[in-house]
Amino acid sequence: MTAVLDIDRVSRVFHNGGERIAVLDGASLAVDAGEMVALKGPSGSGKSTLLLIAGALDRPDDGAVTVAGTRIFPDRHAEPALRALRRRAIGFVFQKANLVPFLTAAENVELARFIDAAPRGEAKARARDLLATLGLGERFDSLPSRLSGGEQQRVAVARALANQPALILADEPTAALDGARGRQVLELLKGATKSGVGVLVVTHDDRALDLFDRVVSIADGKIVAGTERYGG
Amino acid sequence: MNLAIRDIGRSAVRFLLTAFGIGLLTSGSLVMQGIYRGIVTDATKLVRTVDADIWVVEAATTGPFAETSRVPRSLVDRVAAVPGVRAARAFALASETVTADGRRQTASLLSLDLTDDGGWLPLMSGRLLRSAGEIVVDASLGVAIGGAVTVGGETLTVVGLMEGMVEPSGDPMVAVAAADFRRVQGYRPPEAVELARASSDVTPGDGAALSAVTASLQPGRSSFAVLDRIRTWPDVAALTRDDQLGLVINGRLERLRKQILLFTGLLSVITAAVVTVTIYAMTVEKQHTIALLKLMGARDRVVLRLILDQTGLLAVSGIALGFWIEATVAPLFPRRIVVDSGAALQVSAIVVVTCLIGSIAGIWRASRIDAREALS
Ligand SMILES: Nc1ncnc2c1ncn2[C@@H]1O[C@H](COP(=O)(O)OP(=O)(O)O)[C@@H](O)[C@H]1O
Ligand SMILES: [Mg+2]
Repeated sequence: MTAVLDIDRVSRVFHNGGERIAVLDGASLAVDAGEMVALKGPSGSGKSTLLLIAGALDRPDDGAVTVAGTRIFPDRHAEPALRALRRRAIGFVFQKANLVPFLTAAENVELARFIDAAPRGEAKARARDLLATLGLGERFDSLPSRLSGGEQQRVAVARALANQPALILADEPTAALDGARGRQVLELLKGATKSGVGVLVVTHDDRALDLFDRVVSIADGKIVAGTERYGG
Repeated sequence: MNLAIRDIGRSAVRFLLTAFGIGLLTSGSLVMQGIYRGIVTDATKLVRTVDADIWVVEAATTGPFAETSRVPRSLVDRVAAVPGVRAARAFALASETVTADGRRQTASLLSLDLTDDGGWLPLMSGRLLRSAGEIVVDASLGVAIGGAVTVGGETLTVVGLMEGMVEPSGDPMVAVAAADFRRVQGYRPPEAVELARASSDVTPGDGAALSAVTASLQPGRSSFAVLDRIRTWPDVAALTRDDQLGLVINGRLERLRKQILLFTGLLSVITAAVVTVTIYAMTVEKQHTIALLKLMGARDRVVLRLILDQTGLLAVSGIALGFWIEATVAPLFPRRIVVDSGAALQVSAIVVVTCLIGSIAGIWRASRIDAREALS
C-alpha cells in the first residue's frame, strides 16, 4: 500500500513568552490509501498541530512531511502550490461543520469542485450524488441554518469527499454530536476508504474505535502506539 | 454559482440602500455635468449657428462675447473686399430690457441686415424678418407669433420663433432689423435725456457702431490667407470660429467648469468612502468564509473575484439607479440639462473607478485573512 500521508520524525516548537514548548518532538505517522486511522491523546498533546502540519497549514521545525506524493517539508512550496495540494488532495472535516452560511447544502458541497474550476454541471451532479449517498437527498436546497448538527457534519463530509481527495483529515468530527450521530459520521468516512481514500481522524470517542483500521496515540510529542504498518 | 450574489442575497436590504446612496451621488454628478453641458450648449449656440468663419473685432480685444468690441460700420465693406471672403456681415449684439405681455425682462438683441435676412437663425415656426418693425424671438420669451414686444421705445411684431437661442444667463435672444437696432441703441427714456442735459453730458447714443464683422469664406478657401490679410490691419483683430468657441468656453465658463469639476470630485470622494465602508464591512462579515475558502485551497483570485463582483454589482446598480434618478429629476430643473453619451460615459467611468478604489480596503483585509482562522 502507498502512504498518502507520511510524517517522519516531525518536531514543532512553540514559544510562549520565554517558555519553549516542544509540542511535537520526533512524531512519526503514516496513513495508507484506503486506511482509516484514529489519533488519540489528551487535550493539548499536539493532535491538532499534527493535523495542521499534515494539511499544509503549518510547517514543522524539523522532520519530513509527504502528502499524496508531494514532499511539503523540508521542501518549500509557494502558497499557491500548497493551496492546489489542499484543493485537490486533501479533504478537511472539523469539529464544527464550517459550512458557508449563505450557500445551500448542495452548493456547499459544490464549492469544493467550484474552487477547482470544475464544470458547473459536473460539480452540481457530484454534489447531489454525494448528498444522496450520505442520506441528505431531501436537504439539497436547505441553508445550513436549517440543518441539524448531524446533518451539517454530514454535508461537511460530503464537501471533503467532493474532490475525491487522497487524504481526509478530520479533527474531532464527532465531538459536537451525540453517540449515534457521531458514529454515523465516522461510518461515512469509513465508507470513503473503500475508494482508496486515507483517513486520519482525531477522536476522543472510544465507542467507535471498532470502525478504525488502526489506533495511534500521541504523548510527549511522539506517536506512541500503533505506529507499525498494517497489511502491505 | 456566484458567491458574490449569494452573499449579497443575505444582506440585500443593506446592499440596495448602499446602491441607492451611490445612485444619488451618481445622479448628483450627472446633473452637475448636465447643467455644465447645458450651459456650454447655450453659451456656444450663437457662435455655432451664426454663418461666420471669421470674426473681425476691435483691435486687441477678444470680443464680442468675451469682452466689449466696437468696430465701425465701414469695416463690413473692407472685409468683404478681402480675396477669399464670400460675404461679410455686420454683427451687433446688445443687452436690452424688453417688455412682452406686460412682463419686463432682459434679452440679447441681435441686429440683422435685411439684405442678409438671418437665414442661419434656428427658426422653429413663423418666418424670418422682412422689414423693420418686425422681431424674431426665442420661444422662451413666451410671446406667440403676432404678439407685440416693446424694446427701447419701439413696439415690434413677432413674426418668428427660434429654438435654443439663450444666453448662458438664461436670457432669451431676439433678432431685429439693423434699422430698429440702431434706433433702440440710440434711444434714451425721456427722463434720461433730461438728466443728461442737466449734467451737460452730451455723449450721443453711439447707435451706428457694430460689435464685430463676421465673414464667411468662399468654398474651398483656407482661412489662413484671409486671416493673415486682415491681421495686417492695425485697427482690428481677427478670430476664427474655434477661437470664439474656445473664448466662450475657457473664458466665460472657466470658473463654472472648475466649480463643477470640484463638486464632481467631492461626490466621487463621498462615493469612494461609502463603497469603502460597505465593501470592507462585507469582507469582515465574510472573514470566516474567506478563511475557509483559503483552507479548502481556493486560489486568491476566487476571493478577489468575490469582492470585485460585489463591488461591480454595487457600481452597476448605483449607476443604473443614478441614471434613473437623474431622468426623474431633470425635468424639474428650470435650465437645460444635457446628459449626452459623453457625460454618461464619463460619470459611469468615474463611478466604476471610484468603486474599485473603494474596494481596495476590503481586498487588503481579505488578503490578510489566514486559512487557520476558519478553525477558530
Ligand atoms: N500557534 C500556536 N502558538 C503557540 N502555542 C500553540 C499554538 N498552537 C498550539 N499551541 C500549543 O500547542 C499545544 C498543543 O495544541 P493542540 O495541537 O491544539 O493540541 P490538541 O489538539 O491535542 O488538543 C497546546 O499547549 C497549545 O497551547
Ligand atoms: Mg485539538
